[in-house]
Amino acid sequence: MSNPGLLLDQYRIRDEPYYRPLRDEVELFSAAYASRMPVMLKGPTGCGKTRFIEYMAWRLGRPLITVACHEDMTAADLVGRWLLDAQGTVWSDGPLTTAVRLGAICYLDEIVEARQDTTVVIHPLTDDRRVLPLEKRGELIHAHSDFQLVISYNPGYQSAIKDLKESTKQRFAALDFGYPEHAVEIEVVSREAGIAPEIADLLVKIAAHSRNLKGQGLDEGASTRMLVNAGRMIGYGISLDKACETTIVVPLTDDADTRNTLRDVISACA
Amino acid sequence: MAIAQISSLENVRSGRRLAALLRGHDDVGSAVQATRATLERRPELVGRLVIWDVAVRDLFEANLGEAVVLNFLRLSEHWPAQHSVHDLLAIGRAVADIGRGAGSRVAHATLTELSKVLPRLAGAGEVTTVLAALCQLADAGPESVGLAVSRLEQLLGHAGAEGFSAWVSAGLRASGGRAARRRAYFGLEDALSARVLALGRTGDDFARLEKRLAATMVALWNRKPRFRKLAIPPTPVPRRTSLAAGLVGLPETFAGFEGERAESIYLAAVAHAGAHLVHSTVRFPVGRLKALQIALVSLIEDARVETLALREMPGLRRLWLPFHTAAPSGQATAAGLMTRLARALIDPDYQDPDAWVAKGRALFAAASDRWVDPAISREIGGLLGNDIGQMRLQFNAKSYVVEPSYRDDNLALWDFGDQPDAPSETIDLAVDSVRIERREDANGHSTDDTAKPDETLRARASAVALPDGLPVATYPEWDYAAGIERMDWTTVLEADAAPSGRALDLPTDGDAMRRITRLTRDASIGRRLRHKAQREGDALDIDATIAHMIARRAGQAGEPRVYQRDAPGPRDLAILLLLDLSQSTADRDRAGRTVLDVERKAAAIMAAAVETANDAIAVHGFNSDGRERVRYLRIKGFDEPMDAVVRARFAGISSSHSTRLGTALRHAGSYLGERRAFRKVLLVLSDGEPSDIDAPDPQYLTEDARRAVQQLRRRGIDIFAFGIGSGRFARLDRIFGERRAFRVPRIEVLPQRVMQLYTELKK
Ligand SMILES: Nc1ncnc2c1ncn2[C@@H]1O[C@H](COP(=O)(O)OP(=O)(O)OP(=O)(O)O)[C@@H](O)[C@H]1O
Ligand SMILES: [Mg+2]
Repeated sequence: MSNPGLLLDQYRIRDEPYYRPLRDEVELFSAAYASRMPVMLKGPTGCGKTRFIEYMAWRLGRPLITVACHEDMTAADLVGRWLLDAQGTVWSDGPLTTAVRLGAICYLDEIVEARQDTTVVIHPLTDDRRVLPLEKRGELIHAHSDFQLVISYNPGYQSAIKDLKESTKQRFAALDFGYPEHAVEIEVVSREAGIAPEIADLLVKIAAHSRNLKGQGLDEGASTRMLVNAGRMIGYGISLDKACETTIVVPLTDDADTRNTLRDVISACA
Repeated sequence: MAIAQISSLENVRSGRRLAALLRGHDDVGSAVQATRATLERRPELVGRLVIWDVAVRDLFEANLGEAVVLNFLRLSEHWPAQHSVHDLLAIGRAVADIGRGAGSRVAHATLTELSKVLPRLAGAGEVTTVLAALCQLADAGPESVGLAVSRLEQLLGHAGAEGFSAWVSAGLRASGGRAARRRAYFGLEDALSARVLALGRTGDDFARLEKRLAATMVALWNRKPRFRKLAIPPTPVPRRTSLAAGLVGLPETFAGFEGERAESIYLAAVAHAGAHLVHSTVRFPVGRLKALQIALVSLIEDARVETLALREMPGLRRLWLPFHTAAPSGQATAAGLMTRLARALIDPDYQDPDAWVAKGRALFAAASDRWVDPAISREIGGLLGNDIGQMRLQFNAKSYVVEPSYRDDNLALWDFGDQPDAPSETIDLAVDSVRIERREDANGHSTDDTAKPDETLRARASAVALPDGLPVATYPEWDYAAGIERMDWTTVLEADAAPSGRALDLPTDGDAMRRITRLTRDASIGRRLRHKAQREGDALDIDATIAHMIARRAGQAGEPRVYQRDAPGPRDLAILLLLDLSQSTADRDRAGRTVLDVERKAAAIMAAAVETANDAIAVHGFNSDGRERVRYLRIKGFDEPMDAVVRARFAGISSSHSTRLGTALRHAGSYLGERRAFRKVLLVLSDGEPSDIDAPDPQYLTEDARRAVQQLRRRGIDIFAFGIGSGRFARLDRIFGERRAFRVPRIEVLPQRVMQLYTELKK
């Protein structure tokens, strides 16, 4: 806290992260950032949302503060709290407050996991006021002009119960992410896993078939992340079958029939 | 220690009693003692010998002759360690029974045959199943036991224990108490007998594999046809897979493929069917084509779709090739050459010297840049057909069947049109297929949705089954067409559900219940509780901080418990489960379960689990008979425990009349509205869509229910619905919203799905 520059530096992304644009999301996000519009990244797990925001932060030259949201997270975890030291009480900023004060991009990953009474703290930040009230401290922070709020959101099965409040949703511009199209996904997987495009092609085919099973035994098909993992094991010398078994079949489901179906897919493709 | 002594004392006494009984039958007596001595050395039998003695005594006293007893002794001595000794003792008792009915020769044969088939009966309860079937037969048709027993090994190999048991009871039923018919059936001379046997076996294969096949079809081809089982017609021509609009019919058996091999042929068949669904995009007009040409065009089309499939999924070749066993040595008949060509077209390593086969291969390869075009099948097939004609090879359309056996009958490729002067052979083909379809319908094997009888008629016809209850409330109803809310339009008659004489047994699936209970206990939702003076927390606890600072200034170094933390409070849900009790919930699925049965089971499991989790749950039901009579039954109140009275009410509910959903929702909402809870949830279990005798426009009650749902949501009540059964429930989404309407086509999983939602709600 003593040196804001130093503090921010640790959140800076120095080297360009590899990100393969899928459509025009880079342009759209840049436009949203230009007016500091809050952005929501929607899409299934492991499709590249985190990688994208890292890339954008690098491109825009802004530090990135990421918070993985979870059920037991409280508003204090985001905003900050009083602590006690030898001298007495000291205030400690939470990650959101740090980003607001110093002008970073704050990325709240999987925001639906947090309880609704936690998420409401972002409301005054995401409308024209762009302020963050620290009630406990009696302070009202006006957001730094570079500050931007980005959240990610995975519309899955449980979203019937866990959902963002309408009033939260409507504050954001949303970018819809899906798994990359075939050729692009091959590019991503072969580059990230360091494997030949022919093998990546096979993995991407397997994934495409597994995604057909969404809602038919699987909540979600194999993600790009899983393919990268499978690819890395193959790169290490593990056979395709075993690599897929370990990184795709077993993690995806415990149901014996569905596992067999996934194995059918793998053997049909290979 | 003491117990061991007592049991060994028992053992000694029992042995003595047996010896006394056998006195005077010295041969048997000493044989029994010898066997007994061997058994005493087998650890798994220690403590069971007393029962074994009883079994031997039973056999002996049944007076079946010494040979039977000796046979049993032999079986005992060679009893495989991996088999339960209970089965051995059960065999002893059953053979005594069978012998009493069917005589000692049969008893003896039974023992001999059973000892042969033991390795086949490794599954839990399989021995018992077979014994029960044999005893049933000995009881009802003693003259036929010998017939069944003499083929026991073959029968079990064919149908398994369950299939065997089904075959026995079907035979007893079909013979109508006439010994001659029984003999024909159990001697396998009756056609019905073979059919039932085949059913028993393949019914199992198909049922075991169906889910996997459907999933594999979706995964490989992204197509969701319905699957159904095709009965084997009593003709010598083997049955093939058959595709028809949105349906994949799979034969109930592929002759010669059992166990593991059954799995691969069904998979191969499904992969092939999927290739057609995706790549066979046009139907060929039959026109004036002859049966041979039809068969050849189909053969090329098979190769074409498989080749396209292999481009994307080369691994399928491993699945298909093993079924292509044609070899050049085969007979040079038209059908023989065709199976060879079929192989040549998808097996690059296959060598065949025949010129016609080579020509087919060359023509197909030359068309490689047009493989996506179905027209090439028609062209190449036509050319090859002419050649066969010139070679003067006979082709018998009646006995022709597509090879290899994983391929479908290819009838779906053809448009038979209205062809009054079409060659008779092709009409035969077409008509045959139609006949087969019809027969299946008559046999009830078709899974086609049968039209539901008119809801209204049923409501009128069914007798008044419920005590009507008291009018307790009136509700408005929304007339979407007129755009007005009709005030006080419906009347609710309310009563406690009438208890039946017997209380419902709570499901005894202990493991599942325990898991559910644990889940519910771990889950957390509800008001948060503030914990003060904590070591860590979100905020300083001011009082504790002041106290701590004072203590510190005074030189006391206490532990700084100065934070406060908000933690999830006690779980706090109020759930109202609303059951549809309309007449249609009495419909049975193919396993004979009614929707009402599963609703009842799901509700009872949930009520018990929710009770353990200390949440409040009420279970109510409704049906209706016009707007003045919306019956509303309280099965369990929020504050009633799941006691005998409530369980008797569960047991007593029944199905009748119609479904005026909106009114029932409003009334249920009024119950929830009174509750104090962090989260109020209304869960509707229904098998259909709103309807009532005085509402001819189906949309009317749908729109009213939708409005009721929206109004209740605004009052903070979460509403979810489960649509039970195979209906499409097009209106369910409209009423409850897409993400809050769940479909449960397989009704037996309803309890699971309901509990799944509950645990999600608790998160
Ligand atoms: N377009 C892309 N460019 C580069 N890498 C990608 C791309 N899409 C996916 N990846 C790869 O997939 C992996 C997973 O992506 P990422 O972690 O961004 O997923 P996510 O969408 O944030 O998932 P979650 O919702 O589970 O957090 C990345 O580590 C990266 O290797
Ligand atoms: Mg075919």
